Amino acid sequence: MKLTINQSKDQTEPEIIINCSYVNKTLQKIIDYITQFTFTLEGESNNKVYQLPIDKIFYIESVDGKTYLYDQNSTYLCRQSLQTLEEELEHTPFARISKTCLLNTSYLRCVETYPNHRLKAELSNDEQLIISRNYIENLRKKINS
Amino acid sequence: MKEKIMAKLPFIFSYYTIIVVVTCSYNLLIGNTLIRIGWFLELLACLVVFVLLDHAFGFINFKSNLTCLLAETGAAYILFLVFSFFFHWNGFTPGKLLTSTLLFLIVAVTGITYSNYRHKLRTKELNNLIKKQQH
Repeated sequence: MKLTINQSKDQTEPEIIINCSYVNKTLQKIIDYITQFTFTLEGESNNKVYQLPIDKIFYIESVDGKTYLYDQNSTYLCRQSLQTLEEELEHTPFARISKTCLLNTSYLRCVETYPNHRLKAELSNDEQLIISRNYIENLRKKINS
Repeated sequence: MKEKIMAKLPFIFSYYTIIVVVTCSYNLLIGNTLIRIGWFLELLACLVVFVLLDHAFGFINFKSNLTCLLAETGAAYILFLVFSFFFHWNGFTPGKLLTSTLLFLIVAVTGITYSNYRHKLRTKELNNLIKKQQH
């Protein structure tokens, strides 16, 4: 695999082009990783609408039928359902950890055991989330992929 | 759905093995060398029902391991008594009830210990994967 970087002041926006004969597993991993830096989710806070890069979102949670995006400092209301977001974020580090939560595994620091065969996830901002036992395998596959 | 069923199979197989070993050992000890063939299938049915109950327990937010353990073990014991009654596994005299309860407890302690051990192993494996991902 060759890596070529062309740095030029004429480039207004970074552009990544991958030339290949077919997309194998390694390439797909690279593409999935790059993808998280290329798209954003729309979130509302204090009557303002923000375009949030998904690599800045720690986790997404559904509470009372509404979906919220959580980054380092703030919470944003998202108009999309958790199910829709899960499908859109399939090839990103986001993994479903319970019926109401999608976690960005890039911010996962460690896990520890929790009652009823669940796990407690500690994030890099010291927040803690509960991983339901039915989603532990799902999380393991996402981290391993 | 298929993945959920596959995930439960090790649980069913490990408990099935423990129960068969404990029950057969007890029967040998008391000199009973006859077991009804039907019992093996009834046992499997009992475990499948327990797995469904256990899945339902997964949605309950227990505050501590102890309350979770007591609730699940209690539910399993009731299920065991129901199956015992309908399939005539044991008699319900005080002596036989005490013996079957003791056997149930041996199976429960062994199964829970093994289950907790596997859970800790899985946690350790996940933490290793997380460390690898961070590097």
